[in-house]
Amino acid sequence: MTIGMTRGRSGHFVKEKTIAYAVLGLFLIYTLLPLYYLVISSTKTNTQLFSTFGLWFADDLNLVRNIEALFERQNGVFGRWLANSALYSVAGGVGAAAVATAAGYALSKFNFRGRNLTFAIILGTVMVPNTALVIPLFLLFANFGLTDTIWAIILPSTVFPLGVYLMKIYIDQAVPDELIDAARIDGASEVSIFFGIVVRLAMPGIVTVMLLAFTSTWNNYFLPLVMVTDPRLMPVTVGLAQWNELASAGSGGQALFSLVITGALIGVLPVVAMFLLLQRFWQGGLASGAVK
Amino acid sequence: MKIVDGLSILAAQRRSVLGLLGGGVVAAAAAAMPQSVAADQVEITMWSWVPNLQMQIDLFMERNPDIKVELVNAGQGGAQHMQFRNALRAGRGAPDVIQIPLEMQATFQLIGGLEDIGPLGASELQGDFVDWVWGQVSNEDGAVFGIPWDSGPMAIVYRGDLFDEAGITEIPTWEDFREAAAQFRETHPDKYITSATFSSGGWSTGLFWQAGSRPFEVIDQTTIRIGVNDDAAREVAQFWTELLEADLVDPQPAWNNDFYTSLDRGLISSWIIAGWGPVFMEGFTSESAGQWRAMPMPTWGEDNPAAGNWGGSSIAVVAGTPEAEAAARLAIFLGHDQEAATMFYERQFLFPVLNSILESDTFVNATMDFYGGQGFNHVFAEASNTIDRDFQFSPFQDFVYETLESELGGAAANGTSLVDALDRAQATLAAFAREQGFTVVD
Repeated sequence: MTIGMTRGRSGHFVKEKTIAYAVLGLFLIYTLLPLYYLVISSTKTNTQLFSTFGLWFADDLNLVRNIEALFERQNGVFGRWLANSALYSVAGGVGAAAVATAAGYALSKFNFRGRNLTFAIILGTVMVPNTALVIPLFLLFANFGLTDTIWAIILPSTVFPLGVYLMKIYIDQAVPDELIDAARIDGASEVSIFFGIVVRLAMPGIVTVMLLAFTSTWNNYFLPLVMVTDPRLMPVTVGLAQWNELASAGSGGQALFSLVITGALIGVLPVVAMFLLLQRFWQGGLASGAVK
Repeated sequence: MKIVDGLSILAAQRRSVLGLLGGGVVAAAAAAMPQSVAADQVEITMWSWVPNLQMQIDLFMERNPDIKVELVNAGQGGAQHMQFRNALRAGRGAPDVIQIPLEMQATFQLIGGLEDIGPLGASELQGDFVDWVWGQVSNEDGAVFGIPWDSGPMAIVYRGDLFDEAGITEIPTWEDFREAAAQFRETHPDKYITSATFSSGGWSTGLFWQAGSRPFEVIDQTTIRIGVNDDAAREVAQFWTELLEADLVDPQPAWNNDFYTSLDRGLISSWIIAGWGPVFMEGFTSESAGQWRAMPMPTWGEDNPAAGNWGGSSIAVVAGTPEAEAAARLAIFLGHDQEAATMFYERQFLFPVLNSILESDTFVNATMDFYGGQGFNHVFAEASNTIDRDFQFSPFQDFVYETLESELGGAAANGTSLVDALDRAQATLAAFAREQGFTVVD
């Protein structure tokens, strides 16, 4: 009977494992297939996109030609878009991390009137989809004369309620109260406690929030679409969508599919690079946030 | 004269990436230098999505040194309309001159976005433009809300080799089209004569327009008659429902990978498309290049020799601009100047709306590699002269296209009745118009 039970359990375990792997495998295919298609397609010319099999290379590779054409189109505006995306995402990521760390620290370690209410409200705003706020934000920014400037994208990107939540949870756990008390007794100022102790201990959390904010700004489409009209201020997402739509413009319509696809490939590379470079912090941060 | 193809223009402009980056730096430095600007020089901004428009803008500034034009590509389609609406609502950020699709003309007029440039020199140009296009930018009180720029008269662009094999040489009426479709299926069982691309609102509107449908009539600022399911439209819808039921035309939606591939491989052997279509198709056809020909759209009977229109645009002056005079000069130059207008069809492939160009030998006889070295501009030019002048778009045309696309596109793909879909669209649009504060009459 004991043996039977063991067998049953291990059989059950193997079965669970197989299912888990199958699900993970499906998820992997689901994630990688579009990327694979993107890599293959970026080596094709516009006509090859429609005349050759989609999941394998054409007879000749045109990646270099596509990249050249991509960076030359419209006086090289694509390079500008990449730079814009980088600027918005770095500024948004760093800004969001700074605001979230300061706010998370205050919510975690200071007892003040209305703390729980404040935290509840911030949590509540996580539920409000960003896109719902874009039009009101646009009108607000228009009143300040800030539409069609970089601030119209950077300022909203630094407001990241989920980051505040994550940082509060993280600091609750990673920064012991005793350490702060000890520092105060030793005569450290509040500023040096924050920068010298809290920021250092919370670094994995900060990097996590920064990465999250970075990718969400990099991928943001609707906010920049509404806020800027000048192509020289557009990020990659809006610019490529604009080129893609040229195909259905009717007047002056052009099929720029090979450029859009190559642009999309180049557009995802920086995010992939960020994740690979900061993976160590990222994993640490995620795990610590998840425990509590 | 041979029309240069779009990709070879790209190639001619191609410079090395390095050279370009260097050029960018120089240009940026030059832009940063203080320029000695004449005291009375005015600056205006124009939004347009036409590629390489800077050529004509430079020509304009050369001839009008007192006006400096900044050209901005604010996108096209829904994105541009939203940008423009937002800018109008915010009271800042709108350009002085804007390219708008013909179908959006009424919409932007209604929200007070466009300036009447009749008194600024536009009125006297009426006779120089194709009559029906002028009708789209002006009203019966003599107000002119834009200079026509291009149009999209429709014709059938088809695979000459496949049609020849099926013995199809001409298709005078839609009844003949039904027979031709059947004949084509018999010769080429794996292919369709064409595709029912009701997933495009512009395409289906072009077909209804041809049949004499009058889906909208703005009676006054707050009263509108809506009849997207009028008799003419029902006849078209019924006809295509029957073609789809008999499996004589391809039901798949347009504007996607499969569709383009099918066109290039001949699985869909023709596209009922506007004058701007051939150059667009040249961009993605390789196997079939040189095999294409054009013929007029079939008509709804010999007494109704009309063609449909799909697309086209105008150059409008934005209401409230402090530089309306300079803006109107730019709009008139781009639309009416012979040299500029010639460049538009030779270099940017906009289908001309100036009579002088439509009648010129260089335009009528222009050839293309896409057509195997032949020329078919005359087919589209003749179509352009037959389009119904009295067709009106709605003052909320983006919503109309969305509705038509989901109802008709869905019905075509699912094989249900297009007539029923039109009825549903009618109900949706009437309800929407009431929500917007219109009184809807039948």
